[in-house]
Amino acid sequence: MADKNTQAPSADTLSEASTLEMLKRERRANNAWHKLSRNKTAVIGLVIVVIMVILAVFATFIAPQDPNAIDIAHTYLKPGAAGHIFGTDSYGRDLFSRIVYGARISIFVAIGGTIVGAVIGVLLGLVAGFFGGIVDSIIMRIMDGMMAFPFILLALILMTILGTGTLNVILAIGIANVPNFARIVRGQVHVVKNEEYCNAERVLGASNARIVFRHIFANALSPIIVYFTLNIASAIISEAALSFLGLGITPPTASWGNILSDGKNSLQLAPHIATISGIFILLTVLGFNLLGDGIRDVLDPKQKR
Amino acid sequence: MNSTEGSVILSIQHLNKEFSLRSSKLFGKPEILHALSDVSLDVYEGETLGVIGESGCGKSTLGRCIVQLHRATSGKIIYGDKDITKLDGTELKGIHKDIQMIFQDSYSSLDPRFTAAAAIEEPMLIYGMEANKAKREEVVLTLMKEVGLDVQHLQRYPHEFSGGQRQRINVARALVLDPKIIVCDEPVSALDVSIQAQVLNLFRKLQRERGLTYLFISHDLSVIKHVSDRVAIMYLGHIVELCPSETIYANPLHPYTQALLSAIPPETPFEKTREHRLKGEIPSPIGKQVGCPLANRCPKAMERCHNERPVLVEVESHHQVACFLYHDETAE
Amino acid sequence: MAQDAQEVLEKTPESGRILTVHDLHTYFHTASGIAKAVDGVSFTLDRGKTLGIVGESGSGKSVTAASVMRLLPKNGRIESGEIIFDDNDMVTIEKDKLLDLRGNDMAMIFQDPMTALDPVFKIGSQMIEQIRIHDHMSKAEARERSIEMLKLVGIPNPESRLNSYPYELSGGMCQRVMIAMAVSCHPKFVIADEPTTALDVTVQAQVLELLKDLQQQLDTAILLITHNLGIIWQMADTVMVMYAGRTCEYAPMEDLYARPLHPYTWGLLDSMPKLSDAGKTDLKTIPGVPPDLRLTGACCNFYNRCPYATEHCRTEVPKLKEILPGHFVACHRQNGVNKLTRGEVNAHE
Repeated sequence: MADKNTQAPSADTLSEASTLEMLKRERRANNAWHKLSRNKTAVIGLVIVVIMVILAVFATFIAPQDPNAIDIAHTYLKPGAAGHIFGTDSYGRDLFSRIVYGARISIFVAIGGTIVGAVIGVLLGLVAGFFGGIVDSIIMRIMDGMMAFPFILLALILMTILGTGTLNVILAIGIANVPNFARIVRGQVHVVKNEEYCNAERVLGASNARIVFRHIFANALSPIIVYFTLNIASAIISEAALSFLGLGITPPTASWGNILSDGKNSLQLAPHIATISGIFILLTVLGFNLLGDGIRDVLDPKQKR
Repeated sequence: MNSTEGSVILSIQHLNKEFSLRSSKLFGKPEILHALSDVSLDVYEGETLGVIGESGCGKSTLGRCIVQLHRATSGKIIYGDKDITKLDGTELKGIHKDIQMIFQDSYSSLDPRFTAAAAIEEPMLIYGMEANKAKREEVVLTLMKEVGLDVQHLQRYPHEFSGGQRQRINVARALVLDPKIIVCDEPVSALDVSIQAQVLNLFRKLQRERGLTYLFISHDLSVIKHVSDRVAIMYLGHIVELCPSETIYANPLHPYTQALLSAIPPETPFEKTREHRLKGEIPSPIGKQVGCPLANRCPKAMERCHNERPVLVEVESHHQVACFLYHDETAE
Repeated sequence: MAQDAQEVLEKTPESGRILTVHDLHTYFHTASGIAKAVDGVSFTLDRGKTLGIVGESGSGKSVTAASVMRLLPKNGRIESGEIIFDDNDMVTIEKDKLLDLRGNDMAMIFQDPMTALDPVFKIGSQMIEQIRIHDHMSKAEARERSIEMLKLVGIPNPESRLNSYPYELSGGMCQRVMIAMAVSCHPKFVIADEPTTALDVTVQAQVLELLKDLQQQLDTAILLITHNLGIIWQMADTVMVMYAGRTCEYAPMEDLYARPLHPYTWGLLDSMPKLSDAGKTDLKTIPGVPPDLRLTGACCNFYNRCPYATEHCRTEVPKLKEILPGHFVACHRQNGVNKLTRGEVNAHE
């Protein structure tokens, strides 16, 4: 019954030394990792994400076969048949290898697109939020306009202009995500810029630039990180959607989206193609969402645990 | 109390601050909130001038106008031969070195991501005061000791301190630039009574040792009496009375001051409640302001009070009141 | 040897007794330890009387009130102790009975009136809703009662006020509305948790006068929580001074004023600035800061800040004892042979 939390402390516990000790204990307990590990769903999310990232990074070592190796003799093999864990697709390619390489593409595109969106969006949000007035109105109305566009339509237009290819998919997803980041950051800047410490810094003589970059940005970072993680999840779906419609990653490069697209043609004959790629998309999106929610709970100062 | 014999360090002249509010109607004209109306005040070097009033009286706005967080709508604030309301850029930055502010909420006035040491060091970086990092750290530690903190507090974050300790950090930070004037905006209102006493004593010690001038804003008359040489009572954006701090208790003249005193909870269980009550609620500062701000609530209001606004007039030695009850006694 | 508080409280007459709290322990379970917010508090309250609980932050006064109403946050638990409200055991009470009591027999007035009212509902709907939950009457009847209550608390034009939203009212008005809501079902007991701290001084005076009037009219018992001793002198019949989760002193209000016995009470009284003091003097302070509630419990919690502390204070928890008739103090030195007198020794300055 006497663990270090309930043990009756000695009288010297009212001293400075024990207050220091309590401070250390509190810092450890509130350490971001500790907090995260107490959240079961976040841990599940983290595990899933780590697994998928490992697949993506070490694809060359994990995939047993060449994902593009065509084998007409063995098309539509069921999972488990003759050395193909997940079976084969319409061209006889090993599905497992394609899924593994697909992870690389899908996650790379999702993260890349999110980074593009984040960099541009955060910058726009900082400018709009800090200057306010006309600048704010103009930027935010442009953002509103972009958000009003259905994503697929926007992507279609962008792809028409830019052409197809992995890099252009990243750009398309990135541009479509700029408004989301801009809005969140602009909102945060509005909140932080009126906090008393920004006033205090002004009275101390700090310039606008200093306030924005040393104070506002750092304090606006938390929601950006949360949103970044959640955005990766939706970017995976975006890529899948684009590839599904033939606008995304061009075959023969494997991505989960175009495997899914391939699989829709053979739902009766070989349901495993669509199902397995669908499951991987689902799991990864779930993983990033759970992780993002967990990070939000950890970083949200109002939540006391 | 030789405050009135010293020289004037800050002169506030006919200061007005208006805020423009968006009208509730779709295409209506914006409404004007009169936060400060024709405020004139001289602050003497080395004194503590207390400013007291209830919510909406403009005391905070006055403090913020002085440090230029709000830009005055009209009027002047003269510091060292310059009207600081007209300054910008580098000149304004120079003024910040001399006039600093301590805020009410000790927690939100510190960046939660800065340690105490980093917060105190910040002004030195802003003004490029000391290139040598080790020297800067020395200065920070000296200041922390001066305010009653120590080495172990250097690397702690704001949320790891108590309210009183945070306020000490704020004070240390304000002192880095070696200011002449510090505007204290309700600095102890959020603190426990026993901690409040410690921080008030600290303020006094620093004033003695550094020759500081304070503008001390509070809603607590007992606190104000303890720290101030003179007191200015504010109501709805106007100064209604200005006098030495003992006079506030001994001889309050303005009906609002009298009401304020009678509303303070008693010091002993045996005190009888004093009379002077105000009826009704504080009127809105939005829109045109006619007559004396207290007219609709004052038990002694006359016809004249609703139409004309009384200005601050010296009715006794060092005692100014803005009330028609006393104006007839002075030669116009 | 002075008698234990528990023994004395048990012996006193029960008629008119509305609330008995006996050795209450409420702890908060955090990741870095257990904060003993309330660590052995006992008191009683009679109908029509006011008990003032005085303390600074971390004293446990608000948590005590929250425990009585069973309004603790998730990580707070009543570890042990008894709370008997009007013959109901509040610690083991069923949810249904608790909901029945709250708003009906027991009510609470919170510190910040602006945030205690729901901003998206009109005053009228909030008041009517509350009345109808407890006293089954029609909307029209509840409306009548609401208007009556608003008149009672001195709100002008009550009929049109019912249609206002909380943001349209000033702080003072909101607090009156809260008081109206609290007393609308004629409760036997009201907790007022720092009811005037967020209000201006002139409004504060009006609100306190109102509470006193209502208490006389409705014979309500009031548990008044505050850090302002001036309010205590004005309102309380009995006073309990709390520090770091424990009771320091518990006495009738006049006795506490005339003859405070606990060193913390002395420190508190001395550090308050008073209008009658000569201006611009140093205030007497209590050196140090209140302890971290995860570290308290093994000895007198005031030990490290008390100018009169001895070795005994460092090792044993002082129990609340009746030092003078009706006047209880938890202090080893005051319980002993050579009692302290105020201002006698100042080991720290």
